[in-house]
Amino acid sequence: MNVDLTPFLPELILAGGILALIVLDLFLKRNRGIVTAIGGVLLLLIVVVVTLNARQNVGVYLFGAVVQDGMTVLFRVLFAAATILSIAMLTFSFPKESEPYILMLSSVLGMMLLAGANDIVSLFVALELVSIPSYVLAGYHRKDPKSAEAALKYVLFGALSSGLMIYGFSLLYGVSGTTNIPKMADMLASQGSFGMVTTAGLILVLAGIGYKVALVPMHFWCPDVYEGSPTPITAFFSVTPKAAGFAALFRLMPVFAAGMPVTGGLMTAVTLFTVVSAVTMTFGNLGAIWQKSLKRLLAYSSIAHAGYILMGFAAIAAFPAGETRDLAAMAVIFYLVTYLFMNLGAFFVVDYIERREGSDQIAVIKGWGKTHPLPALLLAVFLFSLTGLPPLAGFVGKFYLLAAVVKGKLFALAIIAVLNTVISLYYYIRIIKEMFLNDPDEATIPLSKPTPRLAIALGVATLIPTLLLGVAFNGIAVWISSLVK
Amino acid sequence: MGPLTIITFLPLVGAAVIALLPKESIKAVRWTALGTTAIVLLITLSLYPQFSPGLIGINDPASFQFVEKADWIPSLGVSYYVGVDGLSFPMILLTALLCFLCIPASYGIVKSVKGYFAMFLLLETGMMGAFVSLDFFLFYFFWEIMLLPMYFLIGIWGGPRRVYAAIKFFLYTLVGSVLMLIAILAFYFNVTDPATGQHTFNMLTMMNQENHSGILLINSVRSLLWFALFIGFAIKVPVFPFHTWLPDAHVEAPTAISVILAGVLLKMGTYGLLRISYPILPDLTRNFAWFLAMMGAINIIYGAFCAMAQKDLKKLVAYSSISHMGFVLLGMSALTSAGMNGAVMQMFNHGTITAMLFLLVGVIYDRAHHREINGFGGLANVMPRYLGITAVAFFASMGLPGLSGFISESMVFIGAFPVWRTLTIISILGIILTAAYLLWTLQRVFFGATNPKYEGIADINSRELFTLIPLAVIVIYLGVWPHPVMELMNTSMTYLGNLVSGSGL
Repeated sequence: MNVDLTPFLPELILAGGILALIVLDLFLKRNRGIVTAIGGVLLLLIVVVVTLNARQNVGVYLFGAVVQDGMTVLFRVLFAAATILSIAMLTFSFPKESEPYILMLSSVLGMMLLAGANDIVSLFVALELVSIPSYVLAGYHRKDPKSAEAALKYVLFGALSSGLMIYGFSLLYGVSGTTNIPKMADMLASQGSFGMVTTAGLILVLAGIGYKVALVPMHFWCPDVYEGSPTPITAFFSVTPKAAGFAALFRLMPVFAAGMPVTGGLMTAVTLFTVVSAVTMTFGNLGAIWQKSLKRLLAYSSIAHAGYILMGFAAIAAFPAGETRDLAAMAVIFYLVTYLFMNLGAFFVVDYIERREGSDQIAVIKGWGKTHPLPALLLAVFLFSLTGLPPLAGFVGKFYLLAAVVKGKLFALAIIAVLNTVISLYYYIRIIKEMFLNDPDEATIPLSKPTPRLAIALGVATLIPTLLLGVAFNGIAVWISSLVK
Repeated sequence: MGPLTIITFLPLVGAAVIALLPKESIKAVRWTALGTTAIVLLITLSLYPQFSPGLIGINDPASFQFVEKADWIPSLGVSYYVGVDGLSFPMILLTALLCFLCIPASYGIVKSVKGYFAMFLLLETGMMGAFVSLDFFLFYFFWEIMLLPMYFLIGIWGGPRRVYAAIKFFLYTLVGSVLMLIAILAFYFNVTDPATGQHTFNMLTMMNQENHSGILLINSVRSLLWFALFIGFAIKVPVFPFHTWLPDAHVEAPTAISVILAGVLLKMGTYGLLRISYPILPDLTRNFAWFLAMMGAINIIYGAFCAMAQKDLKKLVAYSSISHMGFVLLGMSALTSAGMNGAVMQMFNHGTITAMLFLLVGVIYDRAHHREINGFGGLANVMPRYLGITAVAFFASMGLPGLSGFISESMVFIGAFPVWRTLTIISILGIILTAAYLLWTLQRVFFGATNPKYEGIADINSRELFTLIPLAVIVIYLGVWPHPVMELMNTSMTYLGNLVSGSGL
């Protein structure tokens, strides 16, 4: 038996670090938040270094419960990068409290585990570890009724979807007799009969994951939670747990491919993913059109983006192995990388707007192109990138996903996706119109508050990758491709 | 760094310089913009004597000129591959010329001058880039880059309904370009570069039918791809029924932007058809040539009738553009040497003539602050010089012999008549309609009793003449001696016509 704990090093460091930060917090009097934030960032940087160093240790560990491969590395780095930016964003709102940072790091610990989960039990436990701190984070502004409502909705929907998922797992276990994911896939493939039980089990599992990544129809919590949670936490929710949900889905793809294969069965996984993807992106985009609050608008847009990312999984379901699968896997990761920067960037500007104006309504940024040109320009870049226009990162992300879909010969999905791009332009550009095409009201005189240095650094840290990944993406594309194989 | 890279990216550098200039120094901003576009124009003109008109280009990598090629995204088979041939060289001449002339025409802009000129230069980069690209990814990249500055240029500096017009323009063109994106990907995955064994975005590799495989061998798929590309380009031309964004965008856009929109951006659509659809899917193009001819005839007649019904001078010019772009479609659908040459010649001539028309509308709008055709009357007495130059533009647009419009339109008819008799005869009626609406407009604006409101109106000034005279000279010169532009395109266009008409028989 291989009980080597080295592949666990990132998680062990993170867990130990979190405990150390909690203890350290007891001795702090001032700047508790800032110190914990710095500690958290350092911790994550160490985790990244350790993860990258250990990327050669490919294999299955701990009685088959954990797998270490290129995908694990990629997701761990992705989680860490997103969290570092989220922590930096949090310091504006929570300079004095350390709790949000600890909760966020605990959630990330769950994600790190999830990235390597190779067994439905470890996968489920990791997923719950991701969720539980999130519920607390959503309701962090206890006295704000919207925040409390957000937390409650998050918990209730979370409980429901966990229930659905575990039920789905129990059905799959009943059919295959194993909890190990690759073995389960082999069993399902060798059985050859794809009865209703397998299909139902897989659909329930997708529902559970769909809750995490906000796929229609499991998205109901999303706009309210995004609106009610403190903005930096919403930013975190919109990227990191979503990426974690996709990491889990990645691990489960062999089971989907074996249980709902392209030939035979009640319903193929391709159909399932194609339909859910098309419905999710369309619904998310249509929902966003009517929003007046920036946070709600970005919530719906993040639903749409989950739909786009799911296109990659549809392509994987169509071709579970080979070139198309590799391209699709690479496209999903690449999209998550670009999405990380552009979406966090957009939320960062929204947070800035909210702290300055005390509201996140689109109306408050009227004429910001004149009164606050830099944040306005920054937001415009992120929104155009989210739309998927060159020369920005979002275009390349979408390009790769579309390439995978076209290579997988899912032309209908490709056409739905590009038409969705046009719909999304309509609402993203409403924000840009408000900032640049409308003149500011006479009454609003710009406040001459100096911009904190960290805010400038964060703006740059999200802007540069958004610009760079749009024109010079060969290196990172090759790197990701080499790791997803 | 070759000349094509310089003319593509110099405007971007200019835009960056402008962005760094202080807000108050309007003069410095204007001079930077003027200087940048002037250098681009000079470099482009300096390429004229070096350009060998005898080289084919089109689908032959060896005979493209001023070629630059470098790996950009090797893992994806994308390269920075630029070059010109007889099809694109007249277009970059036109772009460089109109961009330069539009800078002084924009001196009336007072609102955020810095932003305006920065956006304008960014637009020039997009247009130049699209015309010189020989890699499909690169082409799409520049094609999309044109959208952003155009949106802001119409949306911020436009007329009262600018917000509506800008978003309409953006959404329409985006629909077209995303459909094109799917077609690009379908080509990509079914074209293999024999030299490397990899998929490629190289347009010239895609043009070799022997490199096609997979779904590209299925005729129905090829037809779908042809139509996906057609819609993408047709929205830009714009071909009826995709034209409705154009009158809105033109009416709201500031003068110089209307000039660029009609003078260069519309050409992007027909250029795309000729550069991409024609050589990559020649058999389908030949099969659907009747469709192109029919759309051309519809554009000619429909645009002319719409123009006749307009009360707004600028809208009239906008619809006349739709009509005149119909001639381009008709000419290129014939696939004969005269038709193909006439089409590209018409693209060039329409670019200069319509630029004049929009500039002239801008002149009168700056003075009267309205564009109602019936709101003037008798301007001939107070603005004689303006009348003179307007007459040149109107007569050229009508296709009067001795002016450039006549040459290209008659070439189109000569080329198209043997192939599409009925459609050509119908289209010739368009000439009569054009004459009717233009002469009627001329009469209403310039003749009759002088409107007392405009008794003391100033005649055209030297800055305005500076932008109009070069165009008028070109229009007259090419009307008498079209050879200097014609010789550029002749070899390439005749070859392209033969390539398409000889395919798939």
